[in-house]
Amino acid sequence: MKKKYSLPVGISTEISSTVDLVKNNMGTLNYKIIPLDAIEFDPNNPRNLMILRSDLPQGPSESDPFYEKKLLEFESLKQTAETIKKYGVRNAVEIYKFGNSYRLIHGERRCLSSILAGKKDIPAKVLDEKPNDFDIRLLQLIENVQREDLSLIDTLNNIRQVIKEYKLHVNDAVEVDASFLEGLINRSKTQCLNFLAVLNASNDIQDKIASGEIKSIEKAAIIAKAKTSSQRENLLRSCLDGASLSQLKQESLQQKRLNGISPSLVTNLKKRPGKQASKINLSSTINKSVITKLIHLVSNDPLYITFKSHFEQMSFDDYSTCSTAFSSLIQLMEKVEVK
Amino acid sequence: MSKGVYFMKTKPVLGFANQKGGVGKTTWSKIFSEYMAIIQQKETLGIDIDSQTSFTARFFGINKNPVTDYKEPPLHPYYDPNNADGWDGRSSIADIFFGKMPKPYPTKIEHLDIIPSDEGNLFKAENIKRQEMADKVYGQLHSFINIQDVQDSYDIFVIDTPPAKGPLTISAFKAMTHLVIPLEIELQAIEGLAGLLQLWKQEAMSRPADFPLNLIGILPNKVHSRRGSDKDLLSDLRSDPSYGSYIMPVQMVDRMELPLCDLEQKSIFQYADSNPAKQEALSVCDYIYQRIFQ
Repeated sequence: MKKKYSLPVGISTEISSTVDLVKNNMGTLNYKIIPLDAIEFDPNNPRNLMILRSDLPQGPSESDPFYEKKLLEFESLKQTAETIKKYGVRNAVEIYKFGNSYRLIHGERRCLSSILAGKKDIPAKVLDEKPNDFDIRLLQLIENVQREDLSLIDTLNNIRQVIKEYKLHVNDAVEVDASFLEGLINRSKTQCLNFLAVLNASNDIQDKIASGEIKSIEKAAIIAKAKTSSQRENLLRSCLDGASLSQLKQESLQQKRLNGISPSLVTNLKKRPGKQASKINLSSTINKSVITKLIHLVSNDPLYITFKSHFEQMSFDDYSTCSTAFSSLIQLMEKVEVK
Repeated sequence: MSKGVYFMKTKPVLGFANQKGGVGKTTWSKIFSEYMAIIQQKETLGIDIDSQTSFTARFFGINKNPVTDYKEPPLHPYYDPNNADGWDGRSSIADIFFGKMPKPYPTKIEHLDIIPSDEGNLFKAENIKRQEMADKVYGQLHSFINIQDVQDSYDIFVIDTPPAKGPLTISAFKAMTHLVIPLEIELQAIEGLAGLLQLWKQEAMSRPADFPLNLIGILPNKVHSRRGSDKDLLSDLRSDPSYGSYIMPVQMVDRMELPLCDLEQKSIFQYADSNPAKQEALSVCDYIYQRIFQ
């Protein structure tokens, strides 16, 4: 018999998309609150911190050979602990089941800071089994890259490592551009463009980052993106002299404007079709200071210094005076150059 | 987010859920509980977590508290006022949300116990502050079912859930190992199905691999076998390449015997074997049983 009724497409699509989502993602949202006591650091994965759980809550002992580094870490953890006291742990740590307990994949600082904050448990994404070594390393590195409190050199080293591991284990022919990096480390495209510029920067910039003299990725990227080595050196010098980010941006912008002028001059040199020019067209401008600057430059030339007083008596308030002055300058120069 | 760790070796916990009312959750919770006790002779605990108390009423009638006007559980048959130790003689599933241990009620059917609902106290549990909800409500039913004594006493647990997506339903979902969604074959009910599947999605995706939430299927219920729209819509549902396999191959036609069973407080399995309603109920229950214990 012929069918008269059928399911509206919208409903059918909604049901099928939900069912497909579950079929493909069973167990991927396994988030739980786990007692901190049940989570151990993975001895097979290198730790980023020197400080140990046993150093908490009093802080490291002065007799500890790594006292100074541990103390710095302790202070940093205390700051995070204050945030956790107020807002809780915002991002779940990631763990995997290990016997009757769990091992940490990443979230070492959040665990230690939570202990300092007096918490007994922590939100965690639980994996059923240990991911392979590459996945763990990649997760840890990506997690580190996403931290805001890392130094620039540490962040760059982590990104280098992430790319290296990816090429080694996934695809060595991958083209490392901003889109690729964006997908890999989950940062904005602008940030990824900056990272790439700095990762590929010349040694002088790398050295200053390594020594801690440049701490801002934005500043480093502006310098690294300079077109010529002299422009780069100028920007680097300004940065080291204490230029702010906006000052550096301004300087770079001026450089770009200058860079932009030269190609148009080159274009004008192209041979034009038709009757060839028999004289020079000196163009026009609405900017009166261009004329005053030219007159100033020329009249300070020892060759034209005798005309300086002539121009000093003129006021360049209106276009007409400027045009007259410029015509006079050209005429004087023609006479001098003919001689 | 669930508190603590799931208990992986739980006995089967079957829930009948749908956010729409009147689709057959209570009817099928009762039928399947009776099937497990009468036909399979398994120790079965039925749990009524719906504050409407319909599942409880099918076994014990309606008991209203004359003061609060809320429906409450009947007096427990083992209650002895002279030896009560402060207990008022009533127990319900709401006890698990207030730090008490519920006491299952025996029914007239051998092998079948029920933990009744309690309208007033389940309202209170639902109104626990949102931030305490995760600790005090969501995981409680799962924790209760996994108490060793409770696990040792029963072979299967059957939960009747409320027609909502609130905290009590979430608590039931977190306890379930298996889910059946009764569905009337009409457009409004099918629209509502998408909403319930979201709840299933959230829970199924959150489960560890060794404690999955198995969707046994969507059970076509109260099917009007001669109505063209039922046939056509059911055919559409079953033939969908994505979710068609979740529409159970068995179904229950809209029959008079089921409401009569409720009125007479009788089991469908007490009818003659030739009764078509009993035959259909058996085929549905056999299918669910196979899926759980295969």
